[in-house]
Amino acid sequence: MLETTPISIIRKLNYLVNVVVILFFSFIISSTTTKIFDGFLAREFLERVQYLPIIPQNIAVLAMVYMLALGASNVLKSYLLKKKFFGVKLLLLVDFWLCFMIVYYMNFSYRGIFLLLMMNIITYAKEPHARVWMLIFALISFILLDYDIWSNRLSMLSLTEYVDYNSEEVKIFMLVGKNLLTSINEIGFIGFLYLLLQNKINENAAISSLNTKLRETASELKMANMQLEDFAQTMEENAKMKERNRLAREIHDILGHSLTSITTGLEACVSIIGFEPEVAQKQLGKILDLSRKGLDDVRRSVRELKVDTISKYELIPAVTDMVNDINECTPVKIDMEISGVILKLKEDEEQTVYRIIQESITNAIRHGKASHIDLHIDFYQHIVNVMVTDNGKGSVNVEEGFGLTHIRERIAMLNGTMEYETNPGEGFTIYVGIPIRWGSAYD
Amino acid sequence: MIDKSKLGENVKKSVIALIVIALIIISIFFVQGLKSDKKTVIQIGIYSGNEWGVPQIDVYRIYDEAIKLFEKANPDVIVQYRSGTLMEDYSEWLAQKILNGNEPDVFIVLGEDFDTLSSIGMLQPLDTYMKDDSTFHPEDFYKKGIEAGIYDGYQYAMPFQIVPTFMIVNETLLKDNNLTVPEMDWTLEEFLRMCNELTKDTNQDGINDQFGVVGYGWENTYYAAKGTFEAGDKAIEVYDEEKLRKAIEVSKELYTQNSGQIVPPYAFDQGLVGFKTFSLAEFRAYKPYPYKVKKYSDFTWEPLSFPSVDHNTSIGKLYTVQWGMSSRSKNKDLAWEFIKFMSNDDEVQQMVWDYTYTLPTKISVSNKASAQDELLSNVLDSAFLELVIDQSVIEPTFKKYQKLIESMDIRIKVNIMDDKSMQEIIRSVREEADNILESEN
Repeated sequence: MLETTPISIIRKLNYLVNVVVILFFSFIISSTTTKIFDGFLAREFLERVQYLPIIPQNIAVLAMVYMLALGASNVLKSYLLKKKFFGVKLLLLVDFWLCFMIVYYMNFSYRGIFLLLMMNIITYAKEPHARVWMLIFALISFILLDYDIWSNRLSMLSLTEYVDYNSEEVKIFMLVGKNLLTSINEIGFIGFLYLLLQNKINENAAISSLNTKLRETASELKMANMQLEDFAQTMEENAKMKERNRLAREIHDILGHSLTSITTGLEACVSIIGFEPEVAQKQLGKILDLSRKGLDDVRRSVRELKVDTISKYELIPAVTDMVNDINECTPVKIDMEISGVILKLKEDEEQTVYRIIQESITNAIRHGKASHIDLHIDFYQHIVNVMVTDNGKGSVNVEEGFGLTHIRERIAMLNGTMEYETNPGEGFTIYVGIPIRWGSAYD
Repeated sequence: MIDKSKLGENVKKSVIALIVIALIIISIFFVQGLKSDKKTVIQIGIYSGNEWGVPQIDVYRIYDEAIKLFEKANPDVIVQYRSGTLMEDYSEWLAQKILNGNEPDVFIVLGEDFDTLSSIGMLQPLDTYMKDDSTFHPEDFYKKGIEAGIYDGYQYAMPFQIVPTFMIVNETLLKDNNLTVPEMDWTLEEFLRMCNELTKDTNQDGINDQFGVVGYGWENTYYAAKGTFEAGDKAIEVYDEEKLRKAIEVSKELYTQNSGQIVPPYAFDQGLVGFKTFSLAEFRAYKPYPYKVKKYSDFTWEPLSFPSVDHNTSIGKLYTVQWGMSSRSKNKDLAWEFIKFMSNDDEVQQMVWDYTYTLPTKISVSNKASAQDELLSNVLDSAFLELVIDQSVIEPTFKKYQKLIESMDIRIKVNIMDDKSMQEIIRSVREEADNILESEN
């Protein structure tokens, strides 16, 4: 509750000054009255003054009571302001009344109390509109509540008239005291205004520096936003590229495989059609099946592209289908061996393994011109190992084409490994190991 | 932002606080109410002595008995007063009480205080009390008595006692000097002629030993000439210089008649003066009591109105004793009841006649009492009293009057003694009056 800012200290000091003023005025009035009584000058005093004076002890007591009420009102106002409770404005109006009463009891000879009231208004009236009106009213009161203006209409006796009744020395003491206290009060008010002004200036400086910072931050934010937009554009392009690559892979995988098988099968037919037309005819029938299957594959793939989901099928039957197709339609012989406990794979894993096998066989036939391929699928401790070995041409430098890169990408996606070994005339072997995330045996 | 539930709680708290405060105030009023069951005390302010200079025996008797009657009529009221205040000290005593704020609820207002106390607002205007009180009728009182309590158009005081002034004439001395006793509507010329004839040195010792008049001043002539004093800032606004000139002429002539000799106070008592200004109180004090009467036993005398400038207008001064109410009294209704009781109650007014030398302010009581008085009724009838009172002049009611009249009186007397010309006297008096009227206080 106790504030210790310079402004509030000045306000409290001014309050004390006003208390002293009131005590001093009361002292002057009561001591003068005593002097008048001692000199049997009461009747002459009544004749000299033009009005009925207020009773001296009433001046002291009532003015102090009003002064204390003013102090209590201030404490209450601070409390209400802190609690954000209404009633502050009402209390300020009460303050007006208290100040008027104090001025009245000071015989309209002291109006410095209105400076204190102005301090209160500045401190407690937070609403600008009300504050301005109250200040104007307080200022008008300060100007108008002058003894000389009202002495003709009010039954009042100015302090000077009391002072005049004393001896010269006492008179000087009283007048000096009065002027000194009035001046201290005014200086306090000016000090209050100065500090208030200083505070406002500081506040304004702080606000303007904050504003500058805000502007800087805003421009930085704008830059970041632009970068983000650039980044988003890049990301979009990346996504487009990725999708394009996928499409390319899909086309390569399905069409490449089917067309390779068909081409190889047709080559065989061409060589035998002259001497073994029946066998060739049979062969052609199988190639037709193969090409139909390829067409189905294309359709399925297009469908997948559209819905972006993979139809359910199981790995081993699919691989077996593929191997049988090749064995029947082409001169290439594939031996397939499956070992270990067959685990149920997730769809993307099954797809990958299938594609790897498909791609490896395609590569062996297309690039290695192999006539025999060994396919080994091994399930071992949540890892599926695939080994494809052919007896084809082999190669010194393996140029990783689209297919192999594609395999590598897929394996990397599943945290798997891929190795291959090849030498000219010694065929090509590829080892692939893929960890199974969720492996469980088929039901 | 304001927490709504907290707000509600605060409102609740303030409502409770308000109720508590209201209860405290109500209980204070309640206690006050219990207190008021006790007797109400009315303080009154009185003094011993009077303005017309006739010693009064047993001053407080009338107050004691009147208070007894009042308390009997109002059992809840106690009336208190402080005895022992002399009239000379009363004004200061009351002023100190006023400055201290503990002046009596009701007090006698001295003539010299009336203007001041009315103008500073010390006295409560009684007009509304008079108007609202059906048992009070202003016409029951001597008109001049009521008028004496008016200041600036308001009734600030009610008359209690009145003392008219008039003249008395030594019939024996006039007859001895072959002069006829004047009628009631006699004039200043007659007055001056008779004074001139009466003033003489009977034992031939070079000093006058028989005189025309004692106690007659310039203001008596001024009033007779229908001169008035009005409030103002300049002498010429306040008094009529033409009438003052006439008044000074008369005073000058009387001074010349006496050859500058001042008439000794005992001269009338010895039968050596033809005329004397006289107050009713003096008349009542001296006439009925044997040892005072004895003084006048070698001559017969009669009351007489003041000589007038033209016929039919005899004007003398009227003394009144007035009750005023403090404007700060807490028991104004009771204070009014007391004032009314003192002025209006027949028993109290009868006491005024019985216990003082003054006249009751209520006409009916005054007439009855004076008619029943054996000695008085021979020389003073109610018609004379009413005539004298009606033609009296009340002291003007502006603040500086007392000071002004005293200063003018001294200035005129001194100037006449110095044998200054009329022009000089008038100018000197005007200067003096201007000084007083222009001064702050």
